[in-house]
Amino acid sequence: MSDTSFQNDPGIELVEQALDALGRAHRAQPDAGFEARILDAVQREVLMPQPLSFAHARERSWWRDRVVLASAASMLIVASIALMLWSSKPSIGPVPGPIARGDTLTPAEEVDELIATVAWLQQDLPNLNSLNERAASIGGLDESLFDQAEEALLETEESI
Amino acid sequence: MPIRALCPLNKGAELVQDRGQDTLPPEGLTALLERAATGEGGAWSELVSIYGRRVFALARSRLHSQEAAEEVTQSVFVTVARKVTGGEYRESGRFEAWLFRVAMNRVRDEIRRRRRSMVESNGHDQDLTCPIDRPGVSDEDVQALRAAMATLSDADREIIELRHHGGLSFREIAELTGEPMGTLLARHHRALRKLRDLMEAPADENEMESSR
Repeated sequence: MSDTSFQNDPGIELVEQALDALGRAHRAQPDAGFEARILDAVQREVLMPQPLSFAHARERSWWRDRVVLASAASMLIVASIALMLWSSKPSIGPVPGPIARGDTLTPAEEVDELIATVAWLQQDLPNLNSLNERAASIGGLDESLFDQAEEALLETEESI
Repeated sequence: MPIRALCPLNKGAELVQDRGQDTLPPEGLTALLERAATGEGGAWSELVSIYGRRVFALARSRLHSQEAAEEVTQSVFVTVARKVTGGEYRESGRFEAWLFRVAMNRVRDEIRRRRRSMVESNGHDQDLTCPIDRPGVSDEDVQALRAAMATLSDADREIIELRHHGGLSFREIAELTGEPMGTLLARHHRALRKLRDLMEAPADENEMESSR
């Protein structure tokens, strides 16, 4: 191994030779299974992936990541709001069914219906001509006329 | 028996010899690291085969324990694999320097841990079973060398260990430590001279040096 000249230093070459011999002896000391043991340690510790234990899996759970957890919470809130908005939206068009279809009238039909309703109300109204005549004769209301008018209005209200 | 026969390397890649070390040419290493980054087991097998024992030797020299050195080596490769497959390492031709920086840091951590728990070694190591295969270098020389290395400063000792146990070039050590090449060579030479002086000195003087 010597690549230096020790011509001016007698005895040093012998020291180098002894050092080299000692190094070779050290390298030769392990048994034949030495390399296999070293390689086994490398494979066990580094090259072969360790199976995930339950505790290890818990340590690596996604919910332990604050960023991921915040993202998931945001998505949940947005989804809830969207669901609420969708469910509260009014339906478009008539409610299907026989009753709803029967109540549907055209504008012309609605006018005819209104005229018929007013005529029906007029049929049931009491004849108030006598009250009008008496009021005109006395020029105002007395107590008896007032009571008659009140009674006629109450009867009219009940009939309606 | 040749030492390679005792501790053979698994050669899955096109290895070349560089200063007595098995290593890959730059383009081969880049391709291998690209495969390793995808988590390919075969690529990691090749990386461990090429660098595993060099990292072990570095840790072994400092920690004086085969078991601790192997644990550190495992830890180093697990760390490197995490960074390479995780995209933290970008290949720029400095993989070896980076790998051994990781190893040095891990060794320092282990030494600090030992100091806290009062498990400091005194530098004597009777656990080395592989024979020394260099003619002219006796077991006594090696024991004296170990005792002498324990007296070096941490910085000088790291240079010696990276160079002679980790098998790094001076350029790679300079990249690793951030020191200029000239400074690094001078410190390496000074550390060698100190080791020589300690090995040549009588044993009782070495003990006095160690206890300082």
